[in-house]
Amino acid sequence: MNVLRFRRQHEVLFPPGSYQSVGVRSIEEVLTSKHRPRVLDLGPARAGTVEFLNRFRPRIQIEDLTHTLLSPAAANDPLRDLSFPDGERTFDLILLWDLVNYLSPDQTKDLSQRIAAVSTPDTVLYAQIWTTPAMPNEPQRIHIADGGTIVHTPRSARTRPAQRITKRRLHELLPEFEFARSFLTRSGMEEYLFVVRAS
Amino acid sequence: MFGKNDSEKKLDTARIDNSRFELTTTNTATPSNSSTIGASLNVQGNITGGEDLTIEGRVEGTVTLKQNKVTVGKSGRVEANMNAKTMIIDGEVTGDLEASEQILVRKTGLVKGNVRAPRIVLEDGARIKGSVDTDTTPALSVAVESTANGASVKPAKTDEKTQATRPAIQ
Repeated sequence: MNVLRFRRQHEVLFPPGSYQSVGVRSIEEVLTSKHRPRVLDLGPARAGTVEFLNRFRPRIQIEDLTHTLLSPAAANDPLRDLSFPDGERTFDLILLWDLVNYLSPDQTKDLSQRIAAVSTPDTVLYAQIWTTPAMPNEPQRIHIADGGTIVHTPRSARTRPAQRITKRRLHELLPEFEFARSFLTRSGMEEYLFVVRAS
Repeated sequence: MFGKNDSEKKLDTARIDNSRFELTTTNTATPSNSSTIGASLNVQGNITGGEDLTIEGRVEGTVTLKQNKVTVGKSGRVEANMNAKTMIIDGEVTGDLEASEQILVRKTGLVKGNVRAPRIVLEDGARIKGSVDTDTTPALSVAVESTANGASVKPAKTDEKTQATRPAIQ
């Protein structure tokens, strides 16, 4: 009985597709270490994420590469609309979410070069990599919820084979960045934190 | 100018096109008054005034209603910088938005531009390409407030580079 009640409570706290994220705690550390941190969010605007980030009085730049990736007209060149305003030359935190899984190796390398240009030695890059054989067919809707939880909402039930992206492969794909930490979640998604590679 | 009367009904079905003009609403005595730019209207120019505005048509220029609410309806298409007390975005806006109280971007809303207000509410599905800034406190007023409270006076503008510390990630 108690087990059932616990499971019900657990499901309320952590609905399917959500998990307590260690990565979010690291993101909080980055944000609290800065005065008015600058955040580059390469995913879509999500209410929960903006609400979470707003606690740190940030300046958030939303680029929404996901929408470009999902757009048939721009799928071959998802970085074509990527632009950074003149006043925001660098960012303290870059949220890449699960996009690396859906970009081609060349696109990822191109993206790495472009975001490195708006990074400083203090910049932290957050990414999510699937370690499972299959992954959702499209980038998921992801947001940060209360208590450091990350919620994943698939756009459809369809899946496709996941790229096998190891740490070594990530270093090749993101040559301007170096691995700092990673956390494997129970869903098979691995959270990664990178910093700019020392030259 | 945009009061709900017979002339508005006529405007709703008209098409104002290829002309630049300035629209000014002056009815500040009845703040609950609101005006609508109908779905078939195409307005190019500057809109200022003292009443709420709903845009269902197309607007190019600027919209400045600092004491009022601006709503961009689902069919609204705006290419303008907008400044208002509150804003609700259901349609598409290309331009910078600034509100003194709140901006709400609904799930059908699309904003290409910078959004700045003390409170910004996004519905899931809302799309933004640009910056989101909820800190509208001018740096100078922060410094003055610190002085009044007897706290140490800090420069209004600080050098973030020198303040920054290496993130706690090793």
